[in-house]
Amino acid sequence: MAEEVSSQMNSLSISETNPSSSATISLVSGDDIVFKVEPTIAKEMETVQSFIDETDGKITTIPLPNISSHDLPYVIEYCEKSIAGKITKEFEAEFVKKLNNEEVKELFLAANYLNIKKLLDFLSQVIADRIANKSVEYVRRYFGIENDFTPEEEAKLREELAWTFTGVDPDDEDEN
Amino acid sequence: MDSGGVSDADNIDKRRPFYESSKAWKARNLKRKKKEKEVRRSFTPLSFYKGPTTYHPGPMCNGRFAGKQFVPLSLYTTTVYQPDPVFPVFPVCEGINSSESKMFPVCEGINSSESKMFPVCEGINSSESIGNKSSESIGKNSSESIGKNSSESKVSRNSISDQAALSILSKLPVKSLKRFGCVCKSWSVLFENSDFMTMYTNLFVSHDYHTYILSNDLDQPEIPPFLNHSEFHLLHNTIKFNLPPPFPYSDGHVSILGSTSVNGIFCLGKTSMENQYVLWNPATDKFRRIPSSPTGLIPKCPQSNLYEELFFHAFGYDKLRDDFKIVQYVSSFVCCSRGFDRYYSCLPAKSYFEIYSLKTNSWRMFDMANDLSHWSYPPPFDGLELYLDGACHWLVTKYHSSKHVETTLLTFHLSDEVFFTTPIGESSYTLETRLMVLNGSIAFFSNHHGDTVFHISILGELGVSQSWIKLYISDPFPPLRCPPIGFGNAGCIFFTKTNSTEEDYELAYLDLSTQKTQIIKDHGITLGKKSYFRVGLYKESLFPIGGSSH
Repeated sequence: MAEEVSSQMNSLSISETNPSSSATISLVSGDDIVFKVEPTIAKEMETVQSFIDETDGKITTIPLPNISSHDLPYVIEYCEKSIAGKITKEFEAEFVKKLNNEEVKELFLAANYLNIKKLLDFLSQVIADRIANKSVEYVRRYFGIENDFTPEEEAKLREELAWTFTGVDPDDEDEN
Repeated sequence: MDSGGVSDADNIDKRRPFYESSKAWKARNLKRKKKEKEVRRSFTPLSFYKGPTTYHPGPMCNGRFAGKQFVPLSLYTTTVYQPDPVFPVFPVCEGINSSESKMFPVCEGINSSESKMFPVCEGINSSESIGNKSSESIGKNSSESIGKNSSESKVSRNSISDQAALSILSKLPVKSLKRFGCVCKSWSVLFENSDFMTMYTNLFVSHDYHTYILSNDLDQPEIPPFLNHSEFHLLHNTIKFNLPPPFPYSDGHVSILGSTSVNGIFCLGKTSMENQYVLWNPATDKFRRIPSSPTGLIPKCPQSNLYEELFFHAFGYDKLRDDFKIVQYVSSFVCCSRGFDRYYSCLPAKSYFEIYSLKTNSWRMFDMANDLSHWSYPPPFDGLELYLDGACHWLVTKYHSSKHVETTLLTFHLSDEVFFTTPIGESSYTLETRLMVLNGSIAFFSNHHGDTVFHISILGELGVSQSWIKLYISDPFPPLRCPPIGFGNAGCIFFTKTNSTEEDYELAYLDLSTQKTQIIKDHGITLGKKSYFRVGLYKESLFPIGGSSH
């Protein structure tokens, strides 16, 4: 991560540069860390690109307050691989291997915010695979969803769907 | 050019000159069933054949047909593996879960235990700004206007927006999806949510396979002998494949049992000759002839009115024993015009399964406790048998009346050698049905005779009839001939279609995800009026099967 952090800015003032030069784009994370990336990387992030387009490329420093300096390097790495056409199953497996479910969720939200289709697609599959055998309670917590059933309604539904409740992993107490 | 005016039954007969239309077949089957039932009622029960080492004619047999009517068991290998057949048995569904994870080996080993090592991440986002993709939300606004409010309530911290949640849910196996219907009210009606269904069905196509097209053409359509030449092609692929040399008798069409390759191996058969199989691995260009089962070796007594027919053909892989198996059901019935009662009173009808093992290169008898006589038997090579994840599946029907036909999925687990059923539902006599694999799930295709509308449902859990979920209802344009000739990669359904001169057929497919129809062009496949096509899935492997090369 360290080499990608080129400078730390105290203010988020928008700098203007000559649009014709292929200057790097500065992405500023929510915790004010600046990441300098090639314009091609920014193209992968639809949210960033549409912002650049709207300002005719004059603005090259883009604050991303919703994304932490923990997640941004992951996002950039994935985009770099994607441009190089080097997204393989092996790379993807390695990419999420060390991330716990909460971290994957954060990254998913970052990808959703930046509107990076490939990453979003990949991470939603990762999450789907990880929650497939989880309990209803776990999924409620994970998605932040409030149970709007009455206890009677839920009990009835669970009875109807009894066949789906086999092979459910026990919830891990420490996980949430 | 439009075949809409011609009735569907006519089309079928034209397209499959050596094939009975399925209506005729059903009628014949029904007639036979009736007779067979009568036979059974008055005769020795099937348990008579149970002992693998004892062979003797039926106790009431008058001796006339003794020794000729029954297959001596010594012809089978004596190492009989016979678990207690239990019925019904519902093993844990392997289908959907395992196939899903096949596509994505990513998440293995990362589970709750590992995540303990990581502290729970503190929220960075407020949920409100998530999913807000408009560019105004960044940049122009100063940073303070966009929430960095980590002090906000814990509930709203990085929760997933509804739309984003749908994209995750659409990638879940059916069983999980159904279970998460208990999460909240809106999730309990996901299958009625059109946004979700669009996502779900689009994702429900697998791109992991090749689509093969097997064609059979008559060399001289008008002059006997009616010899076929057969071709095997992969769609969008120019590699040439040579089918193994023809079977001893060359009439009939070469076809593939179960439509799909099993670990890269095809089991070829001929529609005219049951009991003749060749295993073929196109990737290694090796093939291997399978010896005929003992049933076919027994000469029939000339005066005998006993007929043997083979049903429930299937080819699959026994994971437990690392063995390929071919399964078929031998059913005998008496058919004579006179003296019904006298004949019937002395001949037991015999029905049993035969199982071929590639490892031992031999057939053995497998007697099942379940009575299959009340089901109509599926003919092979017609999209009614299927292999998936260690089990063979067949579509069977039970006829009550023309408007009341019960359809069921019959499953035979190749490792455990047990049968179980998953009822599909009730329908009418005119329903054409097929089995297919959609993204690792068993799917049920149905359409009514003369109608172009078809339905596709997928099965969530074997043995659970309420886990059938209707995925598609589609109405392709009329020139497509239902029933389809097969199912290919990426959710494509293949049909034949008459070309502009109405003399030849064209191949076309309907892409389920786009609902668009495409004609296959420049494929190098010989197309003739009497062509017989089958389409299915192929995934290459270098699995050795022994045998010889071309």
